[in-house]
Amino acid sequence: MNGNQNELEAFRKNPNQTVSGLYQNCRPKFIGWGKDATRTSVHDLADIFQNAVMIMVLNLESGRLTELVGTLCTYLFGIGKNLLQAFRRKQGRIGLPGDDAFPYVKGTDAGAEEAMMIQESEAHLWARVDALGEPGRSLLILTYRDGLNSQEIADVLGYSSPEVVRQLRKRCLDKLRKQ
Amino acid sequence: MENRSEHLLEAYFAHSLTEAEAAELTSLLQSDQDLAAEIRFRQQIVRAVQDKSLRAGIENPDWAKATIPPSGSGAGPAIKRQMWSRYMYAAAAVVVVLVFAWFFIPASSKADLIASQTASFPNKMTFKSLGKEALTVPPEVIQAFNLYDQQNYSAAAPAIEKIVSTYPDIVDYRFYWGVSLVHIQQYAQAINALEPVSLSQNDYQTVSLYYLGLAYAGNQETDKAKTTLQRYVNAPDGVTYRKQALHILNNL
Repeated sequence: MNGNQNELEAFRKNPNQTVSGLYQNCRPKFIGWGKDATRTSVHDLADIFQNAVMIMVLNLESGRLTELVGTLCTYLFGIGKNLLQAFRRKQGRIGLPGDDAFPYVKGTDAGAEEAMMIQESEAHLWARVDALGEPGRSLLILTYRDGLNSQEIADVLGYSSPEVVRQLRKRCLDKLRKQ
Repeated sequence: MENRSEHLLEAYFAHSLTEAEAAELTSLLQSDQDLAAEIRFRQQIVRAVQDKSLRAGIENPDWAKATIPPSGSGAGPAIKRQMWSRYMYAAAAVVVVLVFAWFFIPASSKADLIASQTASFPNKMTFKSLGKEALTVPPEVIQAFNLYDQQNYSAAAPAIEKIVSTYPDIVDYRFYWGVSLVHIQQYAQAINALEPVSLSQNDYQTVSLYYLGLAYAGNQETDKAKTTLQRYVNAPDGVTYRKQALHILNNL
């Protein structure tokens, strides 16, 4: 077993210690790199690093990560760069006419009632997304919360091509529509 | 759905539409009801997953727990080992400053306290043409945000208020209006501006709690200020103005 595989084995034996080590040693490097390269805030970079850690663990659990080419830190950098790329695109986002991605909640009673109905409908939809299980759940979060495109999702979740991601996402959306 | 439409939808949700593609999608949405329904469905998904974490998808509870970062409420051993000496220095410095303040600085009013803890929020709006004249960001919006960028909040607040009236559905404008009002200590009006932002799912929801908390404090609504600032400090996502919020909380 080489040194890189030892990192995976160490994680399986003591996940807390391994991830603590990554937060202690790898996160500062990622944040330092991100600040210099993109001038993104430290808090945003810390959030992105945390998401990268969760994706790494999801990949380990699903069996999509069984072998390391480099170290866990370089693996996290690879995921983090994709997440950061999507994050920066999102920062520059502009809406289309009629885009209701940011619903306005009115202060009147009718508005409050409407807002409550919207919240209930979103909670119901989330329950259906959650019921998809993995990997559909993560795929939809990465697509619709983080704004990753199919190529980026293929890269971070370890799929062979963006087409595989598109097909998987289509199946998830079809299931959601039928539920 | 046709490949072209699917490509445009993917680019839309990945925030990578070019100006030409945005115009093409806008045109398609006007003529294709199925596509319009599809984009609305996916926008619902955007809102449903907005505050959800990837962590809940990790089945092994030990592995899920290990992903919690060492900062914040779940502070782990790593950051404590690395940072404890800095925390000690910082604590010592705070004690020295407090002792100095106790003896040499007269007690400041609550208004001064709030003003001193009102942080500037950077303008994160990115304006560009969508490719059609009708969709171009109007000059009054650009001008209002120029005033905001110059931190000329007394001029920015009425200018942004006008664009909020024109575009009541764009919550982003409301947020910057509220921030400007907090800076010029128009706290009652700031509460009106910021409450809707704090209630809806949007990119500014968490940070709006900080400015709303300041507005409540400035408006003598101490209980609401404490609750709102505490919600901000406890927010699971990045809390940029934690230090300022805690300072206010400890002095209300």
